[in-house]
Amino acid sequence: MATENDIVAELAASAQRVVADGPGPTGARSRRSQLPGYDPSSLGLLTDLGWLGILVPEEDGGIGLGLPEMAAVVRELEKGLMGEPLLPYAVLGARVLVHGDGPARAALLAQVPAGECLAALALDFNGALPAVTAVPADGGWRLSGQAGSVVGGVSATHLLVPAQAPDGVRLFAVPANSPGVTKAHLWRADDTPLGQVALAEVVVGNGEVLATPAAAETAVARALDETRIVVAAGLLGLSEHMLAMTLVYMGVRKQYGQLIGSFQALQHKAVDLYIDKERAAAALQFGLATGGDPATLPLAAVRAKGRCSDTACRVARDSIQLHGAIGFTDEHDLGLYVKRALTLSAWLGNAGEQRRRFIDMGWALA
Amino acid sequence: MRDWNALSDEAFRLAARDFIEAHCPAHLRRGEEHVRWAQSKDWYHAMAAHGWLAPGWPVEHGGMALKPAKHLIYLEEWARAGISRVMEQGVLNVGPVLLAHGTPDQIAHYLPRILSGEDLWCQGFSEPGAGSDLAGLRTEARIEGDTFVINGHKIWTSGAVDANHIFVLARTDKTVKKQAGISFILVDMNQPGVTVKPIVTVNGDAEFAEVFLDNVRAPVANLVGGLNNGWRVAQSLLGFERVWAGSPHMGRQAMDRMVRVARLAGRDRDPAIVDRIAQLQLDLADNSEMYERLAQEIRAGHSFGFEVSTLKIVATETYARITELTLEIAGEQGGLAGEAPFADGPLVLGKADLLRDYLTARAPMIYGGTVQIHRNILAKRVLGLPA
Repeated sequence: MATENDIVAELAASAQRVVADGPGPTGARSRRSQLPGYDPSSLGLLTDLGWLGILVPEEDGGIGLGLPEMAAVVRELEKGLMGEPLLPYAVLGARVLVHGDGPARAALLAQVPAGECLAALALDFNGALPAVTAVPADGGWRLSGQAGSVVGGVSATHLLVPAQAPDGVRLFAVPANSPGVTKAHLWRADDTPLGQVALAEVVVGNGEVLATPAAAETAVARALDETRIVVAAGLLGLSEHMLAMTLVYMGVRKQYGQLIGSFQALQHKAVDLYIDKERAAAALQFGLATGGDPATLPLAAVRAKGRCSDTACRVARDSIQLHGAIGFTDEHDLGLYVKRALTLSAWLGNAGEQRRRFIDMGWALA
Repeated sequence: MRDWNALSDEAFRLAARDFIEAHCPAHLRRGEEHVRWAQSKDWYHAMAAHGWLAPGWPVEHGGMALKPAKHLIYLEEWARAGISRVMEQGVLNVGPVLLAHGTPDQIAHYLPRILSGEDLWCQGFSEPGAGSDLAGLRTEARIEGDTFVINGHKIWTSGAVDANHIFVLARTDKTVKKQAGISFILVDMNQPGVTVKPIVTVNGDAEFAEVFLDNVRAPVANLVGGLNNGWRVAQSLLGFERVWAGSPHMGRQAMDRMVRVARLAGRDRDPAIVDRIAQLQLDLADNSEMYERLAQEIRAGHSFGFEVSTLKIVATETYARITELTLEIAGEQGGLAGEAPFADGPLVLGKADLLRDYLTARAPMIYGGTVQIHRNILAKRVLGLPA
C-alpha cells in the first residue's frame, strides 16, 4: 500500500513533468494582461490528471487527499508559473464548498473535479467579507453589493458570495451569468486578473444557499487558512526556483576575470537566501503537519503563510540584486517569478498581516 | 547495565529527569554556563557512580551507549533543568577519539581515569594566530628520543584552570601542506613549563585561559592516530554533538526572560515592541521546527551533514537577536549591571542579568566555527559555488 509520503512524492514528480512539458515562463509572458489569466489547455490537463479533485472528499466525488498532496503539486507548478487555475478553484473555492452546510453544496462539489464548476470566493481586500446584503424575497433572496477582491472571479462559473442576511452571514453560490451580476477586473502584480464583482438585486433561490449562518463564517475562515498553507507552498516553490536561477547565474557570470559566485560577499548573500528557504520549508512543514485539525489550523496558516511570504519576497529582491542589471530587465524571466512572488505574498495576508494575527491570537507573549 | 536504547523516548526522558532531580545539586541548576571543578565535582562523581556520565561511550567502557536520539534527549533535559556544564572534554572528546584512533594501552589507561575524575582534560587547539584558520597553528613538537618536546601558546582553552591534562594539536612537520604536518598529542599539565593564565571574558566569566607550553614533554607513546595525522583525528571530534549547537534551547531561555522583561517594563502593550517580539517568537518557532526535523532524521537513523551549519547559524543568530531586543525593551535599565528595578518590581535573574545575556550571546556565533565560516562551508559544499 502506498504511504502518504509516497503519494506526495509521486504527485510532486508528476507536477515536475507537467512543468517540464508546459509553456513555462514563455507561456506566462504571453498571457500577461490577458484574460482569463491562465492557460486554458493547462486547466484541461490538470483536470485530466484529477488534480482539481485533490481536496474534494471521496464521498463528494473527489479523490479525497489532503493539504500535503495539494501543496506538493502547487509548489512544483509555481516553478513553471502554472499554479493559477488551481489556487482559486481547486483550493479556495473547493474548500469553501466542502465546509458548506447548505443545499447547494453537494451538486456543485460533485462538479469540481471535472472542472464543470469553477467556484471563486467573493471577498474584499485583506480577507474581509464583501459588503453584500441578502434580503429575503419570495422563496429566495435578493443579493446586492460589491466584492472587490475575487481571485478567479473573471472566469468562474460560480461566485461564492458571503452576504449579510437578517439572521446572520449566509453563503450563496451564485451562477456567474445570473442577471444583475457584473464583473470587472484589476491587474495583479504578475499581470493576472483580479476579479471585481458587483451584484444588483441578484435573485437566488433557497437552493443556492451554500452555508447557513451556523456555518458560513467558519467555512470561509477555514477555507482561507487552508488556502494560505497551499499558497505558502507555492511561495516556497518560487523561492526555490529563483534561488536556483541565481546560483546558476553566479556560476557563469564573470567580472574582473572571475566567476561572481567566487566572491565571498555574494556567497554569503546567497547562503542567507538558502537559509531562509530552509526555514520557510520548516514553517511549511509545520503548517502541513498541523493544518488538518481545525483547532490548530489558524496557527498553522499564520506560520506557513507569514514565513513563506517573507522568504519569497526576500529571495525575489536579492535575486534581482545578485543578477545585477540583467535581473532588472523585462526580458529576463526572473522578473516573472519576482512578480508572481509579490502577488502570492500579498494575497490572503502578507507576512506583516500574519504576524498581526499571531499577536491577536495571544501567541506573541505566550 | 541497563539498555537505555530499549526504552521509549518518553520513558528515557523521564528516567533522565528523575536522575537529575535526585542527584544534581541546586547550585548547579541556575542556568550558569560554566562552573569551577570545586563546585561541580560532587555532581560529576554522582553521574559516574550511577552510569550517567558518559552517554556516548560504549557500555564496556562504562558508558551508556546512547544512540543519538536518546543522547539529544539527555542534553535537552540538562538544558531544561538549567544545569551548568562540567569538565566535559574528557567525556566528550578524549574518550571518543581514543576509542576511534587510540592504542589499546591508551584506552585502558585514560578512559577509567576520565570516569573517576582523576584526569581532567582541556583542549589545546586554538592559538593567538590560529582561530578560524586552525590549520595555521604554530605550536611545535620535536622528537627527542622517545619524547616530544613541545613549545607554543594555546588560547581559548576552556576549563584549563581546573584541568590536569591537555590534548594538543602541534606541528610535527613544517615542510608539507599545513594540514599534513600536524599531530595530536596527549600532554600531562602537571610539569614545569606549563603555564595557565586565565582570560576574563567580556561577560565576566573566567572560564577560558591561555596555556603556555615551554619545553613541555610528552612520551611519544602519547601520540594519537599516528605522526602527522592530527588534522584527521581532530576532524573526527566533530561528532553529532554539533547538532546541539543548532538547538533552540538558548533562544527559548532568552525568550522567557524577554517576555518577563517586557511585562515588568510595561512594554507588553506597546504595539511597536509586541510586533518585534512576535517576529522573534516566529523565528524561534521555526528554529525549533528545523531542529526537530533534523532530530527526527537522526532518530530514523539517517545520516546528516551540512544542515548542521544551517541550524547553527539560525539558532545562534536568533538567540542573539532575542537578547538584543530584550536589552532594548529594558530601556534605560538595560544599561545597568546586575539587578534592574522596574515599576512593576525588580528583575532578579540571579547572575544572569540582562547585560550578561546580551554579551553571552556573542560567543556561540564565534566558537565552533564562526557563523561566517559556516556560511563559507554552505556556499561551497551545499550551494556548490566556485572557489
